[in-house]
Amino acid sequence: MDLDTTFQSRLQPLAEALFGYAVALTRDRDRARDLFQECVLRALAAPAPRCDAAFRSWLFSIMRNRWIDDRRSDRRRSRGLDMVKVEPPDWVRQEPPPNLSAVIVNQLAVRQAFADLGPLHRDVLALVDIAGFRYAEAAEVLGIPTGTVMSRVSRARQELCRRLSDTTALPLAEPRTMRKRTRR
Amino acid sequence: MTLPRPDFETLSAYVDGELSAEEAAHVAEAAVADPDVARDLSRLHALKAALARVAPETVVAPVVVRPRLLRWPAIAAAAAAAFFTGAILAPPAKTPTSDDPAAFLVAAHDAWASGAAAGEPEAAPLQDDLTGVLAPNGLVLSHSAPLAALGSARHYAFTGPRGCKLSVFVVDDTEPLVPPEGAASDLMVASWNSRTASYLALARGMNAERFELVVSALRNVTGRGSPDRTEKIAALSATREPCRV
Repeated sequence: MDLDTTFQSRLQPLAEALFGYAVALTRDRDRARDLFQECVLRALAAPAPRCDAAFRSWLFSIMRNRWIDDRRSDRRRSRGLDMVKVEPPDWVRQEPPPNLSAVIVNQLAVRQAFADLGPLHRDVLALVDIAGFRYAEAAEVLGIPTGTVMSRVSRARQELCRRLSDTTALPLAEPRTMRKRTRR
Repeated sequence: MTLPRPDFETLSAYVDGELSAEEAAHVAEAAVADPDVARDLSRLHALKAALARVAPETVVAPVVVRPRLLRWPAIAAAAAAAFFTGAILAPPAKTPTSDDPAAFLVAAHDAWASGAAAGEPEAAPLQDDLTGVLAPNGLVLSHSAPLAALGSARHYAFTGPRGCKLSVFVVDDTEPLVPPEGAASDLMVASWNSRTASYLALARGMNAERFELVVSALRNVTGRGSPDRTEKIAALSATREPCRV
């Protein structure tokens, strides 16, 4: 059918980035797959924007809103257990910028460091670096001013760099069992 | 005279191509004049490139490309027509005979869901309108069979990634498929029809919201969505059991 064919042809080039965004939000491949499916279902059930740029922002917004709804539901279910990590706003953080000369860009380490970022920073970096959004487009999806996107991207990268800095990096291959053997 | 060193935020925006021409030129000049700035820009470019590769590493074909299959002529005609009626929540199977189509459809669904009607999907004629919508959403066609007792009716059965089971019945007829009456809390039914075909979707224990979304998508694909979406959501909200795994 025309509607379906058109939708799929428009979705296909965005699917990889969209799924990457789902992984960035959820940090769980199975949950990301569910989120992706829910997003596509919701998109199919609603009238899609004709403009391709608007269509892309629209899809990512649907996914993000769905994720926010899921998190709210999770919080309601786990009320009292304090499972939600609260991040201070960006302007509160006064840490000095990282020394980039100490940063080691290794694909595996980058992936791990990215997964360890807080949700705000993962969210904005996923939109800008994984999905390739312009700041203005990311601002539309996130519902914040473009200037805030700029500062948030910067702070997210600073945090990422700190985690990738060789002065703070923890050796990945130092399992507990090895330490135990050493002590013995 | 030495140029002021751009701050981290400016370098970050430069890497993203988000600075004005004047600001970008300033950063470029600073990079030429200061090897440390050039090195920092190089690291930020490398970091951005590494992050861009995170997505492909995690992707495992989330979208299934719809195969081009033989179309059912009646469904192609139904696409041109766009006239639908609403959905109804309802239940229990009475005696599963062709004299009671509603109970017969529920029985057909239950037989397939319990494994009694298991089997490979038939090669033809598949309704790619349905598979095209459901496959990308994790519902894979696992059974397809004619229901001779109900004339031209055909049963399409889909299995979800977490064990959800959904049946879609299609009749090449303007006579609507009537949802079963009664009250089984875990049974969800939605029906709609066009001028040339009638559809009925049926599932047990599926998340109500997901069921509603699937049905809305199906209705959009098989024609124009009905205006009573809100009413349908309200009707389906009575069932809240998560899909059984």
